[in-house]
Amino acid sequence: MHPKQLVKLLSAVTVFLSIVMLIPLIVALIHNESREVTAFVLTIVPMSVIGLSAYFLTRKDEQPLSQTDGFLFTTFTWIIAATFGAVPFVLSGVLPEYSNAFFEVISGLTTTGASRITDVESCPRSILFWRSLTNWLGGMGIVVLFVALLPALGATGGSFNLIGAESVGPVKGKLTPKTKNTAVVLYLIYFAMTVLEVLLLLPKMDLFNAVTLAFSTVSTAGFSIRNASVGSYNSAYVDYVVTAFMLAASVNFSLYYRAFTGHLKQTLKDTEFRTLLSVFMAAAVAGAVMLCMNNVYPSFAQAFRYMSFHVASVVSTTGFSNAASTYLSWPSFCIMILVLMMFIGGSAGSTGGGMKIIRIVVLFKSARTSIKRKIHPNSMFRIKISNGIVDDSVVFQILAFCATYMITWLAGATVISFSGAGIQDSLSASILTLGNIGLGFGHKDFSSYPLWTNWIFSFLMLAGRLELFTVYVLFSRSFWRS
Amino acid sequence: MKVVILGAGYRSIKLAKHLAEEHADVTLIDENPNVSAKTMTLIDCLAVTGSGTDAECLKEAGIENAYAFIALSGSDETNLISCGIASSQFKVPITIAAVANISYARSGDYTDILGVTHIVNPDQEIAKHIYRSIDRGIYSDSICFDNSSLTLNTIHVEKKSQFAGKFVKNLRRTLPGDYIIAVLNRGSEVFVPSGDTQIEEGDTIGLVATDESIENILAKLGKKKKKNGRIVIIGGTQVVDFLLHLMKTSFRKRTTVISKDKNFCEKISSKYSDVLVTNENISNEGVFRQESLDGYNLLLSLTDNDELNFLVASFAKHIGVTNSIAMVNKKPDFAEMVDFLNIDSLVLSQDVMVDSVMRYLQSPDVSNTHTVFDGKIEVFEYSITEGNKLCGKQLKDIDMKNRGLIAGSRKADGKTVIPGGTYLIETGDTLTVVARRSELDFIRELLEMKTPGEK
Repeated sequence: MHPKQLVKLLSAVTVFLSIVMLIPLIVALIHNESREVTAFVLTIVPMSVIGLSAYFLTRKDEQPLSQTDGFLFTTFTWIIAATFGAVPFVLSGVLPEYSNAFFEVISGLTTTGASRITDVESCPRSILFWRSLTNWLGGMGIVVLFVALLPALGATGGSFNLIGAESVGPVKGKLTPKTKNTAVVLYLIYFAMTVLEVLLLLPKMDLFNAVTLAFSTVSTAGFSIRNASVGSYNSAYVDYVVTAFMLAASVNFSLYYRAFTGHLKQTLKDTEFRTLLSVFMAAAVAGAVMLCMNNVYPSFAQAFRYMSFHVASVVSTTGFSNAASTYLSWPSFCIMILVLMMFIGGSAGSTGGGMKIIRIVVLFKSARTSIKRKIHPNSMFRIKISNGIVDDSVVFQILAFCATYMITWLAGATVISFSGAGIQDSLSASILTLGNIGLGFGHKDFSSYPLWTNWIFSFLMLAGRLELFTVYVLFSRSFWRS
Repeated sequence: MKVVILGAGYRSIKLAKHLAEEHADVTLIDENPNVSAKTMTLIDCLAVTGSGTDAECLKEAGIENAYAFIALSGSDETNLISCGIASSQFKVPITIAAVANISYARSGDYTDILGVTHIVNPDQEIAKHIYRSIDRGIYSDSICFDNSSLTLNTIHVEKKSQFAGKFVKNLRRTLPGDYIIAVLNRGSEVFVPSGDTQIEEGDTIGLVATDESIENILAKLGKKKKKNGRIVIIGGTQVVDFLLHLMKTSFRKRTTVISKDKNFCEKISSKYSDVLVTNENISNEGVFRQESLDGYNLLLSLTDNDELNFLVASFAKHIGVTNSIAMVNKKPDFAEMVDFLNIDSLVLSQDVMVDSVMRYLQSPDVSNTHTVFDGKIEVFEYSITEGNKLCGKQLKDIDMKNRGLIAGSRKADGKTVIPGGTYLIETGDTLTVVARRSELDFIRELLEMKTPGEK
């Protein structure tokens, strides 16, 4: 561990984030929101002062970063971002209680999309923009953006440890020899995807709506600037565009890079990609058929529109809804499908949350080998994914991850039930935050929980986004000893 | 510059680190998935799991637009075949294969064998490196340049040393000679000193000097240099064989080889009849006394066991051998022990390998590149060709901002000088440049050097 080097990097991140916050400040200036202008200025100035002074004290330190540093750096970056990011919410009076504001920003950054704000439509535009921007930043990752934009950081040895601690999935890969270039490529794809969605949405809404909606879609986050979420646009076209982009954002981004660099076949053969598509199609069609059989919607086309939107929304862990509260009257089979999707989540290396498809696939495959081993006790079985063999140590890590995930879910639910929430509510609230989903079915509003639960939810969201171990190692005694 | 390296062993990792620091896009190929995963967290590079003789795997590593392919795996055959594929099928401009089972001692450097542009024999490179310094009788840590009488010497400033407490600009008053302090290492910091830098006790200095001056300086420091001393070499490795081959007969007559490998001893004694060869295990009791090793001037411990080399070299000093040198194959971290164990010099086989590969990746006007001080300082020779804007400039007019230093210059007629501020640079000069590796970009731009790998 290199404390000085860490402080140096963290202070650089703080300055960097204060620069990012100039964007909502500009939005506030454009919309003449004087109270919000003051709120953002009062956040940005202390942030940059603290960041710059800490940086100058430690600027001379130059050491390669170990994996340990990567964990610490990533976790603290997110905590710093949320701590400062919450201030404008408090100062503008949108969420006067600090813990509520902290919840809101963590929910945004971790792409959960659960909100403490009851009436979104009455909020000032700059605050809404900042809220959606936290989605976009958190989707691909703050650290990844930081590495992409700051040349000095990418050059230090061990910079891959930084990205590795933030990106999701069991095996962290690189696209190019230089970590910096990998980060740049990821953000370029992400940026292009965002722009494309904005362009496709523009015919149906104004620029502000399109940009904020696109931010929350490609990051699979789910904040909306409308009370009735995507349903308020009341357009099948918008629904399908958003469905497509939610799915696109839950595909491993490195597959896009491979496809663009001439390995399209490899992309199409990818196990995780194929599983995502088949799970999505199977769930959407089965649910739509059920909806039709129960005469919830007059036509199959309409049933498919609502069902596919929700399946994509949950499997990508976005948490948008286009059916307002009518889904409460859906047959429980459809709701059950959606609940199952919650535990799957997006792909490794995507912006999606949850346990990730690849882990579920490995889980099933190792269950199958265990059964085969019962029949042929001395046989050799290796788990294969996309024509590559998954090393036993990776399989073990995946199993450990899934077990920890379940334990965290149940422990979280137990603590939440302390607030007096019912069993169903506690279990849902825990998975909704841990899986970074944010949209519950029959689950009560997050704003009705007592204030102390904000910290529990924030912890679950952060642990879920950084895939548990990045955060949990900080609680290990041997970590601090090293 | 895109470089693909085959194998992720000690040598490859050191080379990859060096190249990554030079902003090269480095991709490593290794068959062991655990090794490649670990490499990526250590160095800013891409690691691909697979075989170097598999064209698909080479493609995945981006061989199609690579500038160089360097095969450093443990197998000669794999290295040659993969380099062959790289050069014939993918038209990689530079292919370098490490081949242990080849000797280019007599025939000069092999080029274009099987389409491979350069072949490097690691053991022979190490032997050459050792020979260069012992031939001049310099047993302390030093770097020698071919065709030049300049050396870079690493000197640890002890208490009451001639250097301690002095300002760099006043040094020549008390210690006259043709030399320049090019590098100063204080604690973990390595920098190029200015005239106003004060040398402190405990510093390590890098001193560039002509052969005659270094003799005087070392003598004043109480470190005698002996040209005609007796040498004992411990170990039965290829390096020993190559080293003996490089020596002149008069040199070999003063040399004793001790190895526990009987076959090796037989081979050596039949090949070089003028060398005294003893078949004995150095770890056995009483060997030092029996062979009266305390009477030797230099002991070289060149076995393939790092720990043994350290112990033998250290013990030799203890019993009275004047100087000792140990070879480090796999554990460069041990290098920090060198002062503690009272060993005069280490031969870091990985550094030698990096230097010998890097010389093929440099632009043609750069030669003799060496990295010293734990990879923080680079020393190289740079020839001034016609049309270079430095021609006709005085040294004091080139502001290197203490990021580097022109420590020496060899005139077209072969005369070597340590240049002062009024030194006039001319076409045909070969400058010895010392620079911090982190500032190499600045120095390159200042000296109008071409970046390797760019057309």
